[in-house]
Amino acid sequence: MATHAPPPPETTPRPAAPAAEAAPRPRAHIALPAPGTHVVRRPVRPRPTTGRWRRTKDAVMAVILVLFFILPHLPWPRPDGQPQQALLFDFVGGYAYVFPFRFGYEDLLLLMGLLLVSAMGLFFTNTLVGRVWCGFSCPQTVWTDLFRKIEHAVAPKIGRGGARLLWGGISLLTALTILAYFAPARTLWPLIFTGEAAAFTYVLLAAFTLATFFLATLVQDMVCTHFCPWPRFQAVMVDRDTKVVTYQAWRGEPRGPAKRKAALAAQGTAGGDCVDCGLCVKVCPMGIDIREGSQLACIGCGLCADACNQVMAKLGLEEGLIRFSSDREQTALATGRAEPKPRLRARTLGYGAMMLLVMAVIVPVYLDRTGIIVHVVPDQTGGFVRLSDGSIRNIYQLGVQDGRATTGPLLVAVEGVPEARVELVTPGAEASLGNIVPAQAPGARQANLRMMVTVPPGRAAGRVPVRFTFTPEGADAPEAVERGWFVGPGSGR
Amino acid sequence: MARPERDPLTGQWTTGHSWDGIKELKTPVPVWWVSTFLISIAFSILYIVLNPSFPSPAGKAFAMNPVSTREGLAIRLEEAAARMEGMNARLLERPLEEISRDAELARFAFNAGRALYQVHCIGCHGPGAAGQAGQFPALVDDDWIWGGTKADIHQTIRYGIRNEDPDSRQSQMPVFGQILQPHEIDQLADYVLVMGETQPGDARRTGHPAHALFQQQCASCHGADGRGNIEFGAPNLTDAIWLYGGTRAEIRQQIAAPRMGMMPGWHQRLTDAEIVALTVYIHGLGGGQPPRPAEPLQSAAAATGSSQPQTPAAPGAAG
Ligand code: SF4
Ligand code: SF4
Repeated sequence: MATHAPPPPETTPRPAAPAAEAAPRPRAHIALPAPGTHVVRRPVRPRPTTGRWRRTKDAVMAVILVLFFILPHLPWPRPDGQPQQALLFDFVGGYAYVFPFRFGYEDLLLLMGLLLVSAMGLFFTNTLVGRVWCGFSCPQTVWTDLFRKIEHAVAPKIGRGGARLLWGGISLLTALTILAYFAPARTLWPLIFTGEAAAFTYVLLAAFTLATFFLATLVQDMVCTHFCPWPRFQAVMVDRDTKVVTYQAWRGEPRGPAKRKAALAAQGTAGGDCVDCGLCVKVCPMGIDIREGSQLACIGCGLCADACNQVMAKLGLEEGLIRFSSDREQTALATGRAEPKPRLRARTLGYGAMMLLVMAVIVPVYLDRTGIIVHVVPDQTGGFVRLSDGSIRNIYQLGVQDGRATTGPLLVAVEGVPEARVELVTPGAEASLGNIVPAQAPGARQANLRMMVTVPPGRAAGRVPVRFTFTPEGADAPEAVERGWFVGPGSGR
Repeated sequence: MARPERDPLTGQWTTGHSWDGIKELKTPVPVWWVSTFLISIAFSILYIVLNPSFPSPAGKAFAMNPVSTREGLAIRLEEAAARMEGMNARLLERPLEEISRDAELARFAFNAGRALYQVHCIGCHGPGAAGQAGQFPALVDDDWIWGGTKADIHQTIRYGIRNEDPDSRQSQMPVFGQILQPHEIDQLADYVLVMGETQPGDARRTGHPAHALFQQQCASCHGADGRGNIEFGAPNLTDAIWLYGGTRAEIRQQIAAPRMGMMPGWHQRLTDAEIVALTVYIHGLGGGQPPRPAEPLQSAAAATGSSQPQTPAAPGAAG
């Protein structure tokens, strides 16, 4: 905002090098901005590179792409009436099918736990090695990277138009695959191709195709710098011990071409190892210069380190002028001290502990889940109803969601009041169901019944806490228990 | 106002504004953003022109497209009514007792009945149909002053109780405070309490000083055994349900100066199908009774033509 000089990058203290700083440096080949301004040169057309981090990126990318495109097509045997797709988020039916598991709305707590674990995992890795998620596995990075790879591979042969065509094809395939996670691919895809799918399906297909195409071609790195909230706050989880991609300024500066350094050496002044070839900038998918220090736009992909390592190898110098390193290491190295041992920090432990804690909560919840959810709500009788023989009746609305793999009848009992008789009625139907909740039809979401609990005279007084138990036929123990109240005379009514 | 200049550090232009020597870099929002903003403004102007946005005394001003949510609601209500027409016709065709055999129809009737109940009946009988002690009977128990079969309930809802309609259920309990001596009323109240604890023919009943008086004054409506008679709306005196209270004082009060409930006849306000739906709902609340054996199955249309059924109450309702 203001014209105050931006603070110098904190993470890479530059040792003073008056002689080199004063001398004008040839920079004509690339317009380097002043340090700390983080200006991104557009459009970003990174040059391909090779090396350790590129290979890691390729491996991660391959795994992610294969999983993404294959997963919805894996079959999984399930009972009739349920989809046979291994992974399906069936919003219409209200269930998520994940290999042998079936999750319903009643399992939303698990989803919350899963999201918390993921968030804590993201924070945990971030305190250790910064934005590796961004650099290696974020879909935005993976798809952008894939599109660039394709361009580099085919553009020289078939031109940019051909590359665009390929991009469009992949975008369409991506969109089709996304839809296949939400509707069975085996029925949806033929419908789409024969033009028989619902109009809204085509709207979604077009939206996902266009989004994929434009995000991975036009928008690219701007997603990371302009759209994504993660870089906005990830920096607060980075501290002096986090290993992030770092240009070792103490070693590289003063930078300059090898020839000039030879001249400097002749005068008795040592130049830095950086030959100012600009390769690290040219390969950067974010179009930034890591030599300006750690910065918001850097996604920590390590490609600049790969590029620089190639240069260092050619020059016969030690690799790692750019590398994953922490501020504490750099401070020590810059002042000639030994590289400090990695420290275990409270925040790393904290995020790890939180991750374990959430898991410790959701795993028992998962193990404890029966798939049966019951709601017992007192009807609005305002208390009890007295029958002609003097017995006391409470009326409840009973909702039963049976999410078990195979449903069957449930026996309802009331504990807490003696001789309680439970009677269930389907609203409008004449016949009493006794105390049995009938098996639910496949796909049914909830059975709504009227539940009448009748107790002989003199057995219940005031508000009595009770437990409603729901036991599958033939089972010993209840699968679901709901707590409630039985209201008898002497409770103010 | 200073002149815009190029900032030496960033190479960007300043806005030309200067506050205490502090200048601001000119970093305009991107073109795509500005275009979206302008398009949004254009859209809202178009929207105002096309859709009713401003009220005027004559209705809505400048609406090229005269949408009216009120009219829309009327249309939707009509559509809903049209959708229900078939179901309502089925409700009237089917004999009352057979509605529950058609699960779809039964569900429709119950839900429609609940909606109607919550508009028309809730005021007296309460949200859970548990009634109000001393005023309005509960509809969820197993005791029915005027009968608990579907036909009885249908009749009661349709014509009501003790209102001006000649078809409504009529009966009148004499004001025994003007007929009997106070000590006789005391004895009758005691006899009523004894009836609740004993079976007919029990020595405590037959030997009771008010036994003969009860047979003479009360049995014609409440029955010789005190079990009541739904034809006269005479409640069962031997069960545990007391609309006007079951203590000695309350019973005495009710004999001396009886209170009697009234209920409007709903055929003037509800359609035939609505009354059937309400019947199904009330009957299904937990206390509905099966048809009495002698009662022939009749459809709602037939039942409404005739007067109330003349069959005696099924004994044993008091369990
Ligand atoms: S500066 Fe290096 S690590 Fe950061 S985004 Fe660019 S290439 Fe990747
Ligand atoms: S690649 Fe290495 S040597 Fe070349 S400019 Fe970047 S840091 Fe310097």
